[in-house]
Amino acid sequence: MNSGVRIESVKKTFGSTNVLKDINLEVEKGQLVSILGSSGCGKTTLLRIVAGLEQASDGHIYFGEDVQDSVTVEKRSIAMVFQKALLFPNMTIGENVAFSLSAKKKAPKDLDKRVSEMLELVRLPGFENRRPGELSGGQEQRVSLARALMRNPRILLLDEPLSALDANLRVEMRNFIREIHDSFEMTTLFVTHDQEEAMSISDKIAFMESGILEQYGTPDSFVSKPESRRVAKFFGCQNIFTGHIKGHEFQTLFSCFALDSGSQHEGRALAVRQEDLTISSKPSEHCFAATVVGWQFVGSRILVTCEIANIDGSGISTVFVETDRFSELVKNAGVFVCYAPRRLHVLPRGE
Amino acid sequence: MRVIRPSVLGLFGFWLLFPFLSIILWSISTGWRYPSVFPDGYSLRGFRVAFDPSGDMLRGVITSTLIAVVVGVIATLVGSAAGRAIALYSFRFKKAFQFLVLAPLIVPGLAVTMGIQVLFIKFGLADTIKGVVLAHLIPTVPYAVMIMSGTFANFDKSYEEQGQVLGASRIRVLRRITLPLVVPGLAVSFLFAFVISWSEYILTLLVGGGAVKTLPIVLFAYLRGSDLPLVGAASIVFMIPPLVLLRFTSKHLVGRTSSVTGLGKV
Repeated sequence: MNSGVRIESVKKTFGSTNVLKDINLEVEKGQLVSILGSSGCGKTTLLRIVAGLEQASDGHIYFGEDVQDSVTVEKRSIAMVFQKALLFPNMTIGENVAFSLSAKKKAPKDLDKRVSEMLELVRLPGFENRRPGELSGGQEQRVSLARALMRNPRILLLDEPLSALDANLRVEMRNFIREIHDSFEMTTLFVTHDQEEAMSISDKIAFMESGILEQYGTPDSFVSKPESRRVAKFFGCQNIFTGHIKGHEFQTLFSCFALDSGSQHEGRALAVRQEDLTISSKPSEHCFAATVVGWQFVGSRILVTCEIANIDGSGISTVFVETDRFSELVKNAGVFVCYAPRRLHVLPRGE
Repeated sequence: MRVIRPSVLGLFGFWLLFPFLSIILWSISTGWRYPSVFPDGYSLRGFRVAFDPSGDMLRGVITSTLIAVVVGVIATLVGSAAGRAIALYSFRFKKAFQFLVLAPLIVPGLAVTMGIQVLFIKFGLADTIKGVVLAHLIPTVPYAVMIMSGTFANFDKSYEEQGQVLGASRIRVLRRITLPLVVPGLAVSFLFAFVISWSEYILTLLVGGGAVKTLPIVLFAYLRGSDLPLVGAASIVFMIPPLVLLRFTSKHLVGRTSSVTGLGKV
């Protein structure tokens, strides 16, 4: 039995600190939603409240239509995987996987069969009689996932399950989690601080910052339509210019950007992704003059730093452009930085 | 692993075992006068007297076992609760609490016992087994708390949460997860409390007032009677239970089970 999760005006205070400030979030049935944010933003606390390991100071948690506020942890239809695999050291791998079912008054008759099927699913066939200490980190985490899935919960909660693994394994494991999610179609909440991880596996991302849900939407919307400076920055946008809208243009300190006339804009900051800008030696319709002051390699691409004098002479503004054409770059050369109006995005909450 | 030289080992062994050797020889001798290296003759009279059903020793063994087991269990329970609190939680006056727990090891027991005796007489606990058990908890609980706080300091509370989020009730978490992981600490704590209670003399004498005859009280009476073969035999009986217990808990004292490292956090 599968259901969505509704988090309704949840607040949490520890002493005098507000860890969560009025969080509202609705996760649709069968979706994989990442709760993303830097450490200390309250994402783990939120997940623990959903699990019932913490009590919210205010607000409600619903699984489907069922309010969970007074349901104790063990009665909630959840299963949770933590950052550490936490395999019970006094049990074999098989006993670990069977843990949630062997508890019941009548353990299923085909328990052994189900355990071995589940171990096959997480690609650890025949591991029943091994001990936790004999496994690698990735294997342990897969056993932990198998153990959680055995409970067949309505909601699967994953609290940074990959952050203790090394980089290559993380990529493999996150794809694996997505595969498992797709085959069970289980509503999943996935807490992470890794933007790339969230982007690659989620149906939706809930981005949190300082106890506030900053933005909730598809991974794509965080890149193309960030709602605030924080979101834009966290998702790697390096150009955020303060200014104001003037008709169909956005006036910044150093230039006037033409906005896409087809859509509505409102806000006082303009986000332009560095990869949406190009450097050219000739002027074109949408561009401004700048001086190349330096560059560095970012992977196989080059991040160029350009400077432009402000219109009112109050100083210099910096613009970052990501390009793959190294040959055209000359230090201190005057160039034109070009943009496409429909790639510009005014931040609605970009105070 | 470093190898100890056989000669050093031999010397060490001799130093440890020599007192035992003389006790064993005494227990099976008929007499042993000063200049002679070995006893004058051998007999099992010492053991026969010691195991006489009408004698004090067998009853002493029963009384001592009863008291030491009860003390071991209670001290370990109290030690588990207090040790867990010290190791895993922060609370007001924690430092003061830790100090108070250790205080009985620092304050001379005899001084406190004088006060306790007055109190116990008032409450009708003097000269009773109950009273002796209570008195024995004074020197044993601090050790139990130290051992258990060390055990819980190495215990990851997340295991309990992991159990809960897999649907296990508190009782089941305790039985299937927590207890198996702290068993080494419990065993060592019980061993310490048992051994301390088993060999306690002064507290038993003062609180029990001679009415509660534990093995040390009986042994002391034998010693004054100067029937040395009997003392030897009783001493051997006295040594056996702690050794048996040690045999079963020794695997928890060293290596392998890492939950008990040192004597904890206090």
